[in-house]
Amino acid sequence: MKKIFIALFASIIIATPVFAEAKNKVYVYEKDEKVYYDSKLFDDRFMVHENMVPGDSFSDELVVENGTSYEHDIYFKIELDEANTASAQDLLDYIGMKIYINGNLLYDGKAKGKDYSSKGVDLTDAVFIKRFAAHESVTMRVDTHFDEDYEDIENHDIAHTHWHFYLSDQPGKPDEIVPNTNDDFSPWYFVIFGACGAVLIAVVVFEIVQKKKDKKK
Amino acid sequence: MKNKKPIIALVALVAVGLVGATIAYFTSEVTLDNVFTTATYKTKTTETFSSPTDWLPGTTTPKTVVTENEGTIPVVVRASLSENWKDENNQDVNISDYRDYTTINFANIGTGTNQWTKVGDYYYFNRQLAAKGSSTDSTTTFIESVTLNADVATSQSCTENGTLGQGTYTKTCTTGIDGIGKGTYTLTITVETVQADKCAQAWTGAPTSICPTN
Repeated sequence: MKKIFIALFASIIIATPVFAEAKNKVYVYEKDEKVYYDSKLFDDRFMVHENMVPGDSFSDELVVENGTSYEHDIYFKIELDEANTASAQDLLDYIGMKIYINGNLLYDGKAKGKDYSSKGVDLTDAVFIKRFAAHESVTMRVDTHFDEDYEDIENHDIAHTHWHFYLSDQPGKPDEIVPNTNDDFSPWYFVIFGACGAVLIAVVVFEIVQKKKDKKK
Repeated sequence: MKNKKPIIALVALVAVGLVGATIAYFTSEVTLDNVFTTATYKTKTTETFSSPTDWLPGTTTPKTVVTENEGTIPVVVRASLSENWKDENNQDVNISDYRDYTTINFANIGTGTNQWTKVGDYYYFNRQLAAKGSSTDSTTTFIESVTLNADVATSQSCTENGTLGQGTYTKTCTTGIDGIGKGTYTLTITVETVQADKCAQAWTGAPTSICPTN
Protein backbone atom coordinates (compact mmCIF):
# COMPACT_ATOMS: atom_id res chain seq x y z
CA MET A 1 0.00 0.00 0.00
CA LYS A 2 2.83 2.33 0.91
CA LYS A 3 4.54 1.63 -2.42
CA ILE A 4 1.39 2.42 -4.30
CA PHE A 5 1.02 5.68 -2.43
CA ILE A 6 4.62 6.65 -3.15
CA ALA A 7 4.25 5.74 -6.80
CA LEU A 8 1.07 7.73 -7.10
CA PHE A 9 2.57 10.73 -5.33
CA ALA A 10 5.64 10.63 -7.56
CA SER A 11 3.54 10.52 -10.68
CA ILE A 12 1.61 13.58 -9.55
CA ILE A 13 4.83 15.53 -9.00
CA ILE A 14 6.16 14.57 -12.41
CA ALA A 15 2.89 15.34 -14.10
CA THR A 16 2.56 18.81 -12.57
CA PRO A 17 3.88 21.28 -15.12
CA VAL A 18 5.88 24.26 -13.93
CA PHE A 19 5.51 27.48 -15.84
CA ALA A 20 7.93 30.32 -15.39
CA GLU A 21 5.94 33.53 -15.58
CA ALA A 22 7.31 35.91 -18.18
CA LYS A 23 7.42 39.52 -16.99
CA ASN A 24 7.80 42.86 -18.65
CA LYS A 25 11.22 44.24 -17.89
CA VAL A 26 12.93 47.62 -18.01
CA TYR A 27 16.64 47.00 -17.78
CA VAL A 28 20.00 48.67 -18.11
CA TYR A 29 22.08 46.67 -20.53
CA GLU A 30 25.61 45.80 -19.44
CA LYS A 31 27.13 46.25 -22.87
CA ASP A 32 26.20 49.84 -23.67
CA GLU A 33 24.85 51.07 -20.31
CA LYS A 34 21.56 52.14 -21.85
CA VAL A 35 18.04 51.43 -20.69
CA TYR A 36 15.77 49.12 -22.70
CA TYR A 37 12.33 47.59 -22.44
CA ASP A 38 11.57 43.93 -22.92
CA SER A 39 7.81 43.67 -23.47
CA LYS A 40 5.94 40.43 -23.03
CA LEU A 41 2.93 41.93 -24.76
CA PHE A 42 3.81 43.45 -28.10
CA ASP A 43 5.74 46.48 -29.30
CA ASP A 44 6.54 48.78 -26.42
CA ARG A 45 3.31 48.36 -24.52
CA PHE A 46 3.03 47.67 -20.84
CA MET A 47 -0.53 48.07 -19.52
CA VAL A 48 -3.19 47.30 -22.10
CA HIS A 49 -6.67 47.17 -20.61
CA GLU A 50 -9.40 46.85 -23.18
CA ASN A 51 -13.13 46.67 -22.76
CA MET A 52 -12.96 48.09 -19.26
CA VAL A 53 -16.23 48.36 -17.40
CA PRO A 54 -16.79 50.44 -14.28
CA GLY A 55 -15.72 48.46 -11.22
CA ASP A 56 -12.98 46.53 -13.01
CA SER A 57 -9.61 46.10 -11.27
CA PHE A 58 -6.29 45.13 -12.79
CA SER A 59 -2.80 44.34 -11.56
CA ASP A 60 0.34 44.55 -13.72
CA GLU A 61 3.95 43.88 -12.87
CA LEU A 62 7.14 45.29 -14.27
CA VAL A 63 10.68 44.33 -13.33
CA VAL A 64 13.17 47.20 -13.28
CA GLU A 65 16.70 45.85 -13.39
CA ASN A 66 20.20 47.22 -13.45
CA GLY A 67 21.99 44.60 -15.51
CA THR A 68 25.37 46.29 -15.22
CA SER A 69 28.26 45.98 -12.80
CA TYR A 70 27.90 49.63 -11.79
CA GLU A 71 25.47 51.72 -9.75
CA HIS A 72 22.76 53.50 -11.69
CA ASP A 73 20.03 55.95 -10.81
CA ILE A 74 16.72 55.39 -12.55
CA TYR A 75 13.91 57.93 -12.81
CA PHE A 76 10.31 57.56 -13.85
CA LYS A 77 7.78 59.94 -15.38
CA ILE A 78 4.21 59.74 -16.75
CA GLU A 79 3.14 61.69 -19.80
CA LEU A 80 -0.31 61.87 -21.34
CA ASP A 81 -0.64 61.27 -25.05
CA GLU A 82 -1.31 64.56 -26.82
CA ALA A 83 -3.67 62.77 -29.20
CA ASN A 84 -6.06 61.85 -26.37
CA THR A 85 -9.52 63.34 -26.86
CA ALA A 86 -11.03 65.45 -24.10
CA SER A 87 -13.26 62.58 -23.01
CA ALA A 88 -10.26 60.23 -23.03
CA GLN A 89 -8.42 62.66 -20.74
CA ASP A 90 -11.48 62.65 -18.48
CA LEU A 91 -11.49 58.87 -18.51
CA LEU A 92 -8.04 58.88 -16.90
CA ASP A 93 -9.55 60.72 -13.94
CA TYR A 94 -11.71 57.68 -13.34
CA ILE A 95 -8.80 55.25 -13.27
CA GLY A 96 -7.24 55.03 -9.84
CA MET A 97 -3.66 53.81 -9.76
CA LYS A 98 -1.34 52.58 -7.05
CA ILE A 99 2.31 51.84 -7.74
CA TYR A 100 4.35 49.70 -5.40
CA ILE A 101 8.11 49.22 -5.54
CA ASN A 102 8.98 45.88 -3.92
CA GLY A 103 5.70 46.12 -2.02
CA ASN A 104 6.23 49.68 -0.80
CA LEU A 105 3.71 52.26 -1.97
CA LEU A 106 5.32 54.81 -4.27
CA TYR A 107 2.22 56.43 -5.71
CA ASP A 108 -1.48 56.54 -4.91
CA GLY A 109 -3.48 58.66 -7.33
CA LYS A 110 -4.94 58.70 -10.80
CA ALA A 111 -3.60 57.17 -14.00
CA LYS A 112 -2.84 60.73 -15.11
CA GLY A 113 0.14 60.74 -12.78
CA LYS A 114 -1.07 63.49 -10.48
CA ASP A 115 -1.20 62.30 -6.91
CA TYR A 116 -4.27 63.36 -5.00
CA SER A 117 -3.27 61.67 -1.75
CA SER A 118 -1.18 63.03 1.08
CA LYS A 119 1.98 61.51 -0.34
CA GLY A 120 2.13 64.25 -2.95
CA VAL A 121 4.12 62.35 -5.56
CA ASP A 122 3.68 63.99 -8.96
CA LEU A 123 4.63 61.55 -11.68
CA THR A 124 4.17 64.12 -14.42
CA ASP A 125 7.54 65.36 -13.24
CA ALA A 126 10.31 62.78 -13.20
CA VAL A 127 10.63 61.07 -9.83
CA PHE A 128 13.60 59.17 -8.50
CA ILE A 129 12.88 55.46 -8.19
CA LYS A 130 16.12 54.51 -6.50
CA ARG A 131 19.84 54.07 -6.89
CA PHE A 132 20.28 50.57 -8.21
CA ALA A 133 23.28 48.61 -7.05
CA ALA A 134 25.06 46.43 -9.60
CA HIS A 135 22.69 43.76 -10.91
CA GLU A 136 19.92 44.85 -8.57
CA SER A 137 16.30 44.56 -9.63
CA VAL A 138 12.98 45.61 -8.16
CA THR A 139 9.41 44.68 -8.94
CA MET A 140 7.03 47.47 -9.78
CA ARG A 141 3.41 46.44 -9.22
CA VAL A 142 0.68 48.62 -10.66
CA ASP A 143 -2.87 48.22 -9.38
CA THR A 144 -5.53 50.04 -11.36
CA HIS A 145 -9.23 50.38 -10.68
CA PHE A 146 -11.90 51.75 -12.97
CA ASP A 147 -14.25 53.87 -10.89
CA GLU A 148 -17.85 52.67 -10.54
CA ASP A 149 -19.02 56.28 -10.90
CA TYR A 150 -17.95 56.51 -14.53
CA GLU A 151 -21.12 57.30 -16.47
CA ASP A 152 -20.06 57.83 -20.06
CA ILE A 153 -20.76 54.18 -20.72
CA GLU A 154 -22.09 54.52 -24.26
CA ASN A 155 -18.93 56.23 -25.44
CA HIS A 156 -16.06 54.07 -26.57
CA ASP A 157 -13.02 55.90 -25.22
CA ILE A 158 -9.36 55.12 -25.71
CA ALA A 159 -6.78 56.85 -23.54
CA HIS A 160 -3.02 56.52 -23.91
CA THR A 161 -0.34 57.33 -21.37
CA HIS A 162 3.39 57.01 -21.77
CA TRP A 163 5.74 55.92 -19.05
CA HIS A 164 9.29 57.13 -19.39
CA PHE A 165 12.21 55.54 -17.61
CA TYR A 166 15.39 57.59 -17.52
CA LEU A 167 18.91 56.61 -16.70
CA SER A 168 20.97 59.39 -15.15
CA ASP A 169 24.54 60.00 -16.28
CA GLN A 170 25.71 60.40 -12.73
CA PRO A 171 24.66 59.00 -9.37
CA GLY A 172 22.37 61.18 -7.30
CA LYS A 173 19.47 63.39 -8.27
CA PRO A 174 20.47 65.91 -10.90
CA ASP A 175 19.88 69.62 -10.36
CA GLU A 176 18.00 69.83 -13.60
CA ILE A 177 16.29 67.08 -15.54
CA VAL A 178 17.10 67.19 -19.22
CA PRO A 179 15.68 64.25 -21.09
CA ASN A 180 18.13 63.13 -23.71
CA THR A 181 16.64 63.36 -27.18
CA ASN A 182 19.33 61.39 -28.91
CA ASP A 183 20.92 58.39 -27.26
CA ASP A 184 24.02 58.61 -29.43
CA PHE A 185 24.70 62.24 -28.63
CA SER A 186 26.62 62.59 -25.40
CA PRO A 187 25.68 65.56 -23.17
CA TRP A 188 29.39 66.34 -22.79
CA TYR A 189 29.33 67.53 -26.40
CA PHE A 190 27.23 70.46 -25.24
CA VAL A 191 29.87 71.39 -22.68
CA ILE A 192 32.70 71.01 -25.19
CA PHE A 193 30.93 73.01 -27.90
CA GLY A 194 29.92 75.64 -25.35
CA ALA A 195 33.45 75.91 -24.05
CA CYS A 196 34.91 76.22 -27.54
CA GLY A 197 32.37 78.89 -28.40
CA ALA A 198 33.11 80.80 -25.25
CA VAL A 199 36.84 80.65 -25.91
CA LEU A 200 36.28 81.90 -29.45
CA ILE A 201 34.11 84.80 -28.24
CA ALA A 202 36.65 85.64 -25.54
CA VAL A 203 39.46 85.68 -28.09
CA VAL A 204 37.49 87.87 -30.52
CA VAL A 205 36.50 90.33 -27.77
CA PHE A 206 40.04 90.38 -26.51
CA GLU A 207 41.36 91.10 -30.00
CA ILE A 208 38.84 93.95 -30.49
CA VAL A 209 39.81 95.49 -27.16
CA GLN A 210 43.47 95.15 -28.04
CA LYS A 211 42.96 96.82 -31.44
CA LYS A 212 41.15 99.75 -29.81
CA LYS A 213 43.98 100.11 -27.32
CA ASP A 214 46.56 99.94 -30.14
CA LYS A 215 44.69 102.69 -32.06
CA LYS A 216 44.71 104.93 -29.00
CA LYS A 217 48.45 104.43 -28.75
CA MET B 1 50.34 93.09 -21.83
CA LYS B 2 50.65 90.09 -24.14
CA ASN B 3 50.74 87.72 -21.13
CA LYS B 4 47.09 88.51 -20.31
CA LYS B 5 45.67 86.80 -23.41
CA PRO B 6 45.86 83.15 -22.24
CA ILE B 7 44.60 84.06 -18.75
CA ILE B 8 41.34 85.63 -20.03
CA ALA B 9 40.68 82.70 -22.39
CA LEU B 10 41.18 80.22 -19.55
CA VAL B 11 38.71 82.05 -17.31
CA ALA B 12 36.05 81.87 -20.02
CA LEU B 13 36.63 78.14 -20.46
CA VAL B 14 36.33 77.40 -16.73
CA ALA B 15 33.12 79.48 -16.46
CA VAL B 16 31.44 77.51 -19.22
CA GLY B 17 32.62 74.26 -17.64
CA LEU B 18 31.00 75.19 -14.33
CA VAL B 19 27.68 75.93 -16.01
CA GLY B 20 27.80 72.50 -17.66
CA ALA B 21 28.50 70.73 -14.39
CA THR B 22 25.29 71.98 -12.73
CA ILE B 23 23.16 70.16 -15.33
CA ALA B 24 22.87 66.42 -15.13
CA TYR B 25 21.57 64.56 -18.11
CA PHE B 26 19.59 61.49 -18.64
CA THR B 27 21.87 59.46 -20.82
CA SER B 28 19.26 56.99 -21.87
CA GLU B 29 15.49 56.80 -21.96
CA VAL B 30 12.89 54.17 -22.74
CA THR B 31 9.15 54.71 -23.22
CA LEU B 32 6.37 52.28 -22.40
CA ASP B 33 2.88 52.83 -23.77
CA ASN B 34 -0.28 52.17 -21.80
CA VAL B 35 -3.69 51.83 -23.35
CA PHE B 36 -6.99 52.10 -21.50
CA THR B 37 -10.10 51.33 -23.51
CA THR B 38 -13.62 51.43 -22.17
CA ALA B 39 -16.21 48.91 -23.13
CA THR B 40 -19.30 50.22 -24.83
CA TYR B 41 -22.53 49.49 -23.03
CA LYS B 42 -25.36 50.08 -25.44
CA THR B 43 -28.58 48.25 -26.21
CA LYS B 44 -31.49 48.87 -28.54
CA THR B 45 -35.04 47.64 -28.13
CA THR B 46 -37.29 47.50 -31.17
CA GLU B 47 -41.04 47.22 -30.97
CA THR B 48 -43.14 46.12 -33.90
CA PHE B 49 -46.69 47.29 -33.36
CA SER B 50 -49.40 49.06 -35.32
CA SER B 51 -51.88 50.74 -33.08
CA PRO B 52 -55.43 49.91 -34.32
CA THR B 53 -57.79 52.85 -34.57
CA ASP B 54 -60.91 50.79 -34.34
CA TRP B 55 -60.13 47.69 -32.39
CA LEU B 56 -62.99 45.23 -32.60
CA PRO B 57 -63.63 42.25 -30.33
CA GLY B 58 -62.01 39.09 -31.62
CA THR B 59 -59.27 41.01 -33.36
CA THR B 60 -55.62 40.21 -32.73
CA THR B 61 -53.00 42.90 -33.07
CA PRO B 62 -49.38 41.78 -33.59
CA LYS B 63 -46.80 43.17 -31.21
CA THR B 64 -43.20 42.00 -30.86
CA VAL B 65 -40.32 43.32 -28.82
CA VAL B 66 -36.68 42.45 -29.53
CA THR B 67 -33.59 43.74 -27.76
CA GLU B 68 -30.16 43.90 -29.40
CA ASN B 69 -26.75 44.39 -27.85
CA GLU B 70 -24.98 47.23 -29.67
CA GLY B 71 -22.09 47.35 -27.24
CA THR B 72 -18.88 45.44 -26.72
CA ILE B 73 -19.70 43.61 -23.50
CA PRO B 74 -22.28 40.90 -22.77
CA VAL B 75 -25.57 42.05 -21.28
CA VAL B 76 -28.61 40.34 -19.84
CA VAL B 77 -32.21 41.36 -20.41
CA ARG B 78 -35.45 41.28 -18.50
CA ALA B 79 -38.85 42.75 -19.25
CA SER B 80 -42.01 43.57 -17.39
CA LEU B 81 -45.40 44.66 -18.66
CA SER B 82 -48.40 46.56 -17.49
CA GLU B 83 -51.85 47.17 -19.01
CA ASN B 84 -54.01 50.21 -18.82
CA TRP B 85 -57.45 51.15 -20.08
CA LYS B 86 -58.68 54.70 -20.27
CA ASP B 87 -62.32 55.49 -20.88
CA GLU B 88 -63.63 57.96 -23.42
CA ASN B 89 -63.06 60.76 -20.92
CA ASN B 90 -59.40 59.73 -20.65
CA GLN B 91 -59.91 58.50 -17.11
CA ASP B 92 -58.21 55.35 -15.85
CA VAL B 93 -60.48 52.37 -15.65
CA ASN B 94 -60.15 50.14 -12.62
CA ILE B 95 -57.95 47.18 -13.54
CA SER B 96 -60.41 44.60 -12.20
CA ASP B 97 -62.96 45.82 -14.71
CA TYR B 98 -60.96 45.09 -17.82
CA ARG B 99 -58.80 42.14 -16.79
CA ASP B 100 -60.66 39.79 -19.08
CA TYR B 101 -61.02 42.13 -22.03
CA THR B 102 -57.66 41.31 -23.54
CA THR B 103 -55.37 38.35 -23.95
CA ILE B 104 -51.64 38.82 -24.23
CA ASN B 105 -50.24 36.12 -26.48
CA PHE B 106 -46.79 35.24 -25.22
CA ALA B 107 -44.09 33.56 -27.25
CA ASN B 108 -40.83 31.80 -26.45
CA ILE B 109 -41.64 31.21 -22.80
CA GLY B 110 -39.72 28.27 -21.37
CA THR B 111 -36.34 27.14 -20.16
CA GLY B 112 -34.52 26.94 -23.49
CA THR B 113 -31.56 29.22 -24.16
CA ASN B 114 -33.53 31.37 -26.57
CA GLN B 115 -36.57 31.56 -24.34
CA TRP B 116 -37.80 33.66 -21.47
CA THR B 117 -38.47 32.63 -17.89
CA LYS B 118 -40.98 34.43 -15.71
CA VAL B 119 -39.83 35.03 -12.16
CA GLY B 120 -41.97 37.34 -10.06
CA ASP B 121 -43.05 40.29 -12.18
CA TYR B 122 -40.22 39.90 -14.69
CA TYR B 123 -39.57 37.90 -17.82
CA TYR B 124 -35.84 37.07 -17.97
CA PHE B 125 -34.18 36.14 -21.24
CA ASN B 126 -32.37 32.89 -20.50
CA ARG B 127 -28.96 33.77 -21.88
CA GLN B 128 -26.59 36.69 -22.15
CA LEU B 129 -26.53 38.80 -25.29
CA ALA B 130 -23.02 38.63 -26.70
CA ALA B 131 -21.23 41.70 -28.05
CA LYS B 132 -22.52 43.31 -31.21
CA GLY B 133 -21.79 41.34 -34.34
CA SER B 134 -22.19 37.95 -32.71
CA SER B 135 -24.94 35.60 -33.82
CA THR B 136 -26.25 35.69 -30.24
CA ASP B 137 -26.38 39.47 -29.81
CA SER B 138 -30.19 39.72 -29.71
CA THR B 139 -33.20 38.28 -27.93
CA THR B 140 -36.20 36.57 -29.29
CA THR B 141 -39.54 38.24 -28.59
CA PHE B 142 -41.50 37.12 -25.53
CA ILE B 143 -44.78 38.49 -26.81
CA GLU B 144 -46.29 38.16 -30.24
CA SER B 145 -49.73 39.77 -30.13
CA VAL B 146 -52.63 41.11 -28.11
CA THR B 147 -56.22 40.05 -28.69
CA LEU B 148 -59.31 41.96 -27.76
CA ASN B 149 -61.42 39.08 -26.56
CA ALA B 150 -64.36 38.11 -28.73
CA ASP B 151 -66.75 37.83 -25.83
CA VAL B 152 -66.27 41.40 -24.71
CA ALA B 153 -69.69 42.94 -24.45
CA THR B 154 -70.15 45.94 -26.66
CA SER B 155 -72.91 48.42 -27.09
CA GLN B 156 -73.70 50.88 -29.80
CA SER B 157 -74.94 54.40 -29.36
CA CYS B 158 -76.07 56.57 -32.25
CA THR B 159 -76.82 60.23 -32.71
CA GLU B 160 -78.98 61.55 -35.53
CA ASN B 161 -78.89 64.98 -37.15
CA GLY B 162 -81.79 66.00 -39.39
CA THR B 163 -84.68 63.91 -40.63
CA LEU B 164 -84.29 60.98 -42.95
CA GLY B 165 -85.53 61.94 -46.43
CA GLN B 166 -85.60 65.68 -45.72
CA GLY B 167 -82.42 67.55 -46.57
CA THR B 168 -79.22 66.63 -44.89
CA TYR B 169 -79.44 63.72 -42.53
CA THR B 170 -76.53 62.17 -40.64
CA LYS B 171 -76.45 59.34 -38.17
CA THR B 172 -73.25 58.71 -36.23
CA CYS B 173 -72.91 55.46 -34.30
CA THR B 174 -70.13 54.54 -31.86
CA THR B 175 -69.42 51.04 -30.71
CA GLY B 176 -67.99 50.98 -27.22
CA ILE B 177 -67.00 48.35 -24.71
CA ASP B 178 -69.44 48.07 -21.88
CA GLY B 179 -68.11 49.88 -18.86
CA ILE B 180 -65.43 51.69 -20.82
CA GLY B 181 -67.07 53.13 -23.84
CA LYS B 182 -64.73 54.17 -26.62
CA GLY B 183 -61.65 53.53 -24.60
CA THR B 184 -57.96 53.30 -25.19
CA TYR B 185 -55.91 50.27 -24.29
CA THR B 186 -52.22 50.67 -23.55
CA LEU B 187 -49.80 47.82 -23.05
CA THR B 188 -46.50 49.08 -21.67
CA ILE B 189 -43.46 46.84 -21.90
CA THR B 190 -40.44 47.90 -19.92
CA VAL B 191 -37.17 46.32 -21.01
CA GLU B 192 -34.15 46.52 -18.71
CA THR B 193 -30.59 45.53 -19.51
CA VAL B 194 -27.49 45.32 -17.38
CA GLN B 195 -23.90 44.28 -18.03
CA ALA B 196 -23.83 40.53 -17.48
CA ASP B 197 -21.13 40.39 -14.81
CA LYS B 198 -22.96 42.92 -12.60
CA CYS B 199 -26.35 41.28 -13.02
CA ALA B 200 -26.56 39.63 -9.60
CA GLN B 201 -25.79 42.92 -7.87
CA ALA B 202 -28.20 44.97 -9.94
CA TRP B 203 -31.13 42.56 -9.99
CA THR B 204 -31.85 40.94 -6.68
CA GLY B 205 -34.16 37.99 -7.10
CA ALA B 206 -32.98 37.19 -10.61
CA PRO B 207 -32.56 33.47 -11.32
CA THR B 208 -28.98 32.36 -10.64
CA SER B 209 -28.90 30.53 -13.97
CA ILE B 210 -29.00 33.95 -15.63
CA CYS B 211 -27.30 36.05 -12.96
CA PRO B 212 -24.88 33.78 -11.12
CA THR B 213 -23.66 35.11 -7.80
CA ASN B 214 -19.88 35.26 -7.61
